Amino acid sequence: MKTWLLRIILMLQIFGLVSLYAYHLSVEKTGRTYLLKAEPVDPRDLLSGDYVALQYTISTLPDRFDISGFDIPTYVTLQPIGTLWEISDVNETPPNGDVPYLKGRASGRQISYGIERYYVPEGKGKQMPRDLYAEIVIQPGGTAQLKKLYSDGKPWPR
Amino acid sequence: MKLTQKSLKPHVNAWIEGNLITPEQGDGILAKYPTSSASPVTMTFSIIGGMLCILGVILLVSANWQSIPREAKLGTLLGLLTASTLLGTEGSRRKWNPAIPEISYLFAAVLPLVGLALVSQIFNLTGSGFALILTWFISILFLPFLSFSPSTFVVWMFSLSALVPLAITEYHWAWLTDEYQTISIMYALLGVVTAAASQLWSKAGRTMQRAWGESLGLIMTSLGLYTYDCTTYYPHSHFPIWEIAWGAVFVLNLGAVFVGYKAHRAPLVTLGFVMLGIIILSFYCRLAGSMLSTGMLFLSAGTLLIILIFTLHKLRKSILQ
Repeated sequence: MKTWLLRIILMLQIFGLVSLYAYHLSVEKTGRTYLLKAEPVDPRDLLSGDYVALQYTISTLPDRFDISGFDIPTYVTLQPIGTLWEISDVNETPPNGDVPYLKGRASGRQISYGIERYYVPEGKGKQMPRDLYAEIVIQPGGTAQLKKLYSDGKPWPR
Repeated sequence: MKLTQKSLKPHVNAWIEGNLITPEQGDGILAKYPTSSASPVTMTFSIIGGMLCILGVILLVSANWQSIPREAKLGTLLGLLTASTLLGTEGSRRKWNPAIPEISYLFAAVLPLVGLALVSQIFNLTGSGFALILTWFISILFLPFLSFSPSTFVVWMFSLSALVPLAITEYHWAWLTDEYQTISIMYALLGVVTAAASQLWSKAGRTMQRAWGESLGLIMTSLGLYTYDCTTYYPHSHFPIWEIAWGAVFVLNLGAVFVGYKAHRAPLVTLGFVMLGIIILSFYCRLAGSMLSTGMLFLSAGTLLIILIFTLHKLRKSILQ
């Protein structure tokens, strides 16, 4: 009885991890992609290893918008400027219509979207190019997933 | 040496042959003892070895080898998780050396966290630490109670106690003056609940888990109260209550020593004395710190520490005897 329960727990653990993997894989494969300008810094995570911490041009609230408070849910509508995407509008509610938007959390003039980390092989984060572009996928509801980084038109790190 | 069915069987057989006890009574006596026991040294070094292997797996995952396909990484991890759980259950069922199921269950408890970290790494997810630890905690929620593995219970306790500061800091729950004081009080309460709830292990005859629960509960409550007033910012109106909090820790540990003495629980007596020593020394350093020169403070604190160690060791020895 006890052994069977432990095996059921094992199956649930495997199911949970595979489902999580499959969900994010489906988002990555099926979602529409957007290119953002990014700037890197270099820390390390105990469990997941080296990563590049990213700051986007859309991470700072433009002066024409005002959101006061800490950790406020924020919806940022995007507009294309050339090949890149920039902020078009900022609201505390999701926009209407078929426009691409990101869900973030604003603290002061900084907005975080949950795509501020890009994991790299050990030691690769030390030589970071300054011209980085991030390819992201946006899920319905505005949640973003970071897909790939590019530098000089090629995937980075090489 | 710990008594086991293996070591007792020749004696019980001799008693049955000498008509001192009936065969049924002999079976009853044997049933009260574990079938076999690994030596504490084997067990301790096996668990340390297991922990080093787990750290190795974590570091291999964090090295993020991009030449390995991500499906292969996840598959290897799931294979390890499956193997560790099956080895644990089979080892327990077939009465292998207790160190084998213990290490296997330790792997089974930690690998779900490594799996979550791997998925976060693969898809560059920046999520909440609370959500990560909560998911891990839920995935191993029943593991210690089904496997009866002490190390799994300790891992379970660590994941539960990690949830407290993560929840308070991420959701900014400051029920008291600030988040840090809220964390201290929540830890103190969690420690009391842990120590009390650990008594339920007695019903399953698991004294090792009960001892771990009591010890971790005592440490959590003591640390919670000890750090309650250790705030770096002292406003003018602040009423310092560290004397009361530290006094409470002293009384609590004195109580732990008494309970340990009454209930014949050596770990509780030892831990209580260690905590009492820390509190006495801390009180002395905090009170005398501003009155003495640095040299005198070191000299007197060192002397106090030596006296404390010898006195408390002697007291502990006499109590345990």
